[in-house]
Amino acid sequence: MEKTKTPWSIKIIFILNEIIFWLFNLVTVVAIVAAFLILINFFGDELELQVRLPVAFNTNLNGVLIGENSSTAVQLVEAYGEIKFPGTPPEIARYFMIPLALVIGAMYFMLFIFRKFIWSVNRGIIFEAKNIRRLRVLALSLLAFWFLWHVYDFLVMIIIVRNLHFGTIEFTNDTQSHVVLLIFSLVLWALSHIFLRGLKLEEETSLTI
Amino acid sequence: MAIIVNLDVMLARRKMSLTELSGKVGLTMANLSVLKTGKAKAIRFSTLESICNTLDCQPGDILEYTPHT
Repeated sequence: MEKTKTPWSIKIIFILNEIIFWLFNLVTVVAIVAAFLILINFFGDELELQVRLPVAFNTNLNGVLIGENSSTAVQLVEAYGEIKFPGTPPEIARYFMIPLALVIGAMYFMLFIFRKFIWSVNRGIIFEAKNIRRLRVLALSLLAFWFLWHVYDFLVMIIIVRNLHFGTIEFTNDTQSHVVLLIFSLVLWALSHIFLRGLKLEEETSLTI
Repeated sequence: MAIIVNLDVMLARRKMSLTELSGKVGLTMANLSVLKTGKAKAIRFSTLESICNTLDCQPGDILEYTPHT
């Protein structure tokens, strides 16, 4: 059988994925060590936890847009941001360790599945039942991740945002939809169906005499 | 599958081996074996024509329809 050459796009994705996967391994190890240190209260009052807020806030800050010959007055009216807990109490840090551990676990799993998938594709094994299953698992995991992200945002909204009070800013109810993640997972799901059809066609072609 | 391939029966009638048929028809032994064992999903008209020509028979002599019970 003639050996098909792996396209450059696949090679680039393969190399990038390898780099990201091994960097993420490092991040996971660091996260495990950090979680352990938080559990034994190693940082004391020196920990400064930052939490991303899922909603936009209205503000009214004046600024200037500087051009080459002129400047224009502008106002910052809506933004997304993070809050910091200076000298984070250990109980709060432990509380936020749960979603962090879940996110790292889920991302590790998805990267691992994607790595196996792209390894097979790189070796030219595309239309294989096992590989198509991996793609479907990846798509459904991303879909679950998207849903859980909304649950997390909702919890942060009702537990933290509704109880936050700043003098100069006002929080809106505009939550982020993370629509790119949703579309990406649906595209992967559709691709898995297309690959499955491809597998059946390949089987039929090879068994046509 | 409801379609049965009677290639082995025709080969026996014509006293011809699978290797001989393979050489005359121009199909590989592996492909003829897939056809003979009923694992094939489809057969091209050109293949059927070559087999019928070599074995001097009709398509109906090679293929048989048996409804599922």
